[in-house]
Amino acid sequence: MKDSIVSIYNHRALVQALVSRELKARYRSSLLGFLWSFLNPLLLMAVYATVFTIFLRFGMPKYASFLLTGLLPWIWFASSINEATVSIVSGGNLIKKVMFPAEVLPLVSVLTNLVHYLLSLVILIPFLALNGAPEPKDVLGSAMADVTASNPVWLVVSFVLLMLIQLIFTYGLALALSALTVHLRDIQHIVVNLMTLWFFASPIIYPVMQLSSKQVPQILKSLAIDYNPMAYLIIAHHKIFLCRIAPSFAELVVMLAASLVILFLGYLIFEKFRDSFAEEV
Amino acid sequence: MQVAVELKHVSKSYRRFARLRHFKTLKGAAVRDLWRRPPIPDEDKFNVALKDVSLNVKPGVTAGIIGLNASGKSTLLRVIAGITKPTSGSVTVSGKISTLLEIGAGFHPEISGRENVYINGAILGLSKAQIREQFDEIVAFAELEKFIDYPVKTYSSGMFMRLGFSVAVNVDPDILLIDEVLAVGDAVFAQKCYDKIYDYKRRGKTIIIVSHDLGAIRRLCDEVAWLHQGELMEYGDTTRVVSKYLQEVTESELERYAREHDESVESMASAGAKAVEQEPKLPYKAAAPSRPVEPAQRWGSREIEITAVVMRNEEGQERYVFNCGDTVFIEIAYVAHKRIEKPVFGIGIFRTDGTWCYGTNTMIDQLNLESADGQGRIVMRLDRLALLSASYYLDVAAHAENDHPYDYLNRLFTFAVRSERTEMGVFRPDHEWILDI
Repeated sequence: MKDSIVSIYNHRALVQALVSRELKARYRSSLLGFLWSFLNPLLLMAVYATVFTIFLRFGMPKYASFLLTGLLPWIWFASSINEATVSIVSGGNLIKKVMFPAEVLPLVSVLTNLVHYLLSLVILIPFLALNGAPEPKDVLGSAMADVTASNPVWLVVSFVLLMLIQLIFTYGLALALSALTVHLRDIQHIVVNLMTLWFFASPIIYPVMQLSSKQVPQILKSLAIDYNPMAYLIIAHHKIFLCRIAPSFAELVVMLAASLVILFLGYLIFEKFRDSFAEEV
Repeated sequence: MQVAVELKHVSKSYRRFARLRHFKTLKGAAVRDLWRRPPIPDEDKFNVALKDVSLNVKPGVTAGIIGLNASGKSTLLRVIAGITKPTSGSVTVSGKISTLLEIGAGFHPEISGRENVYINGAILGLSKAQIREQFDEIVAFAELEKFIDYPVKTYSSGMFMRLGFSVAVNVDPDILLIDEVLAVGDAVFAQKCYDKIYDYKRRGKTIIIVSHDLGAIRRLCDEVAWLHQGELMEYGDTTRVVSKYLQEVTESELERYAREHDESVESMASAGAKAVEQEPKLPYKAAAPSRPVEPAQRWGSREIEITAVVMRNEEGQERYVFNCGDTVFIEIAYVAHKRIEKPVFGIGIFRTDGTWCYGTNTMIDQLNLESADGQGRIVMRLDRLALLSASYYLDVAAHAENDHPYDYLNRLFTFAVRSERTEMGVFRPDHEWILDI
């Protein structure tokens, strides 16, 4: 594991070059170019906002703000995983023909989407300022109604930590999936569909307390909230951006520990298959 | 003794099937368990690419790797480069290693040549500062000053290759591995590439080259490793190993062409039998079909039947592989089932890609044969076989002066011409260069 970290550090110029290649190539020869980094999440938000406020009559004030806050970290996560899953298979030439640390490829997918995420934050903040945020009780339930806002510095620090946690978790999962896909190409198709299910199971288009209603079986509630890392991350985003409440230090430590475990497991799977990449892709 | 690259008993076998139960898909894996197919035996599962190869390359040596296709040359390079691990044995490399196995690795078509130089350089292990320092040199070497800011997708394939090669040769490794990429671009650029490699040599770098171009291997390499079906046949002095290899290859090629000729003779007999069956002997004046008899490559009315076609060298030995410039005899044995007035015999030489290289007959050459009756033989002597290195078909025909075919053997016989010179084109006219001072 230490070797791998050193290897990635030594190849930081390569990682940087590949990330900038992806960023430059993605919107090259499109008319609006980099604006699509802002437009894509906004348009997706508009689609869901239309569906859930007009067609399905979801009665939350300032729903668009709520939706966008949860949607952005999800897009980072989902795009990273979908791209990273096929990163080694499609980077075959590099693996086969150049001495190339394979773990760089899924990392490039995750980092490229991190950059898009950071850019999209630039629209989230003015959007929230213009549109206004929903009441904390609508977002987190009545228990949170009178919690006071956190210190702004700690708010920023905890948000940075949150991104780090999501980065580690996403990369861990990306390592495992990219390596497994080399041997079983079916995984890429399964992953795409599982990501859709995962999206609807996470509290992105509905507030978390929606799940506390009695119609939802307990086991599904647990799966969607208690054992869903993305639920923790998205609720933390809701807290920070909509309610100005920072996650507690303990929460962050637990999340960090859990994501490190995922990274380690992903790394083990990746290492197990690493030597076969040059032959199988 | 100091070594740059040391291989000890290196073997490498590839799986022919995916690790997961030799099925690439989940469905395959599930279906197999349902039907309980017999497992695939071990020897079919693995494809042995290298067998117990031990090799030392000293620093500053330029080593070539030669061998037929699928002899393990590229696998050997990949094992040395550390791209794949050997199944058994050990590889020790001392010094910074760089590979030229693929030109333009990681080039993205949508972005500019300039940006791609940085990315490609980073992939090959250069830092940003190093690339910036050498950028102008790289672009000048590729001769792409005017195009460097255009997207790479607008480049011709030659421009693409030139840019890729320029970045790669500006990486400054201790050990450079090159796989069959020397022939980049036009002759002028190819020469620049060679110059760059000579420059590496002068500076005492270790170079390992895989190539089929024995001329290049001879010029560049101090030592040569000859691989045959994954085994190291010979390693040592270039001249000795290359000539040994050539001898072996020529022998096996001779065998192959002799075998093919035998097969042609067999198919000639069977094609003949079929043709005769389909066309009972027609009176001479009757119009016989001149279309090819499918699928046999033989047609004609068979009043004259060609019974054998043999190629011989100057000493009269039967040969189907010649050197450019050899004297060649083409011997046609025939039997005329009745007296035929004014027969014409002809030959045609086609390169296997279909290029018609030469065709003539006894009428064109104004050898007016009176008649043919019974068995006979006609020999064509080519003083200098002026064809360049390639495989060829030999067509042989007997027909009447009005082109009515008696027996036409189309693409039945093959022969090869080998040449160590790297001339281009189809044939080699006699020539010399005169220096006009």
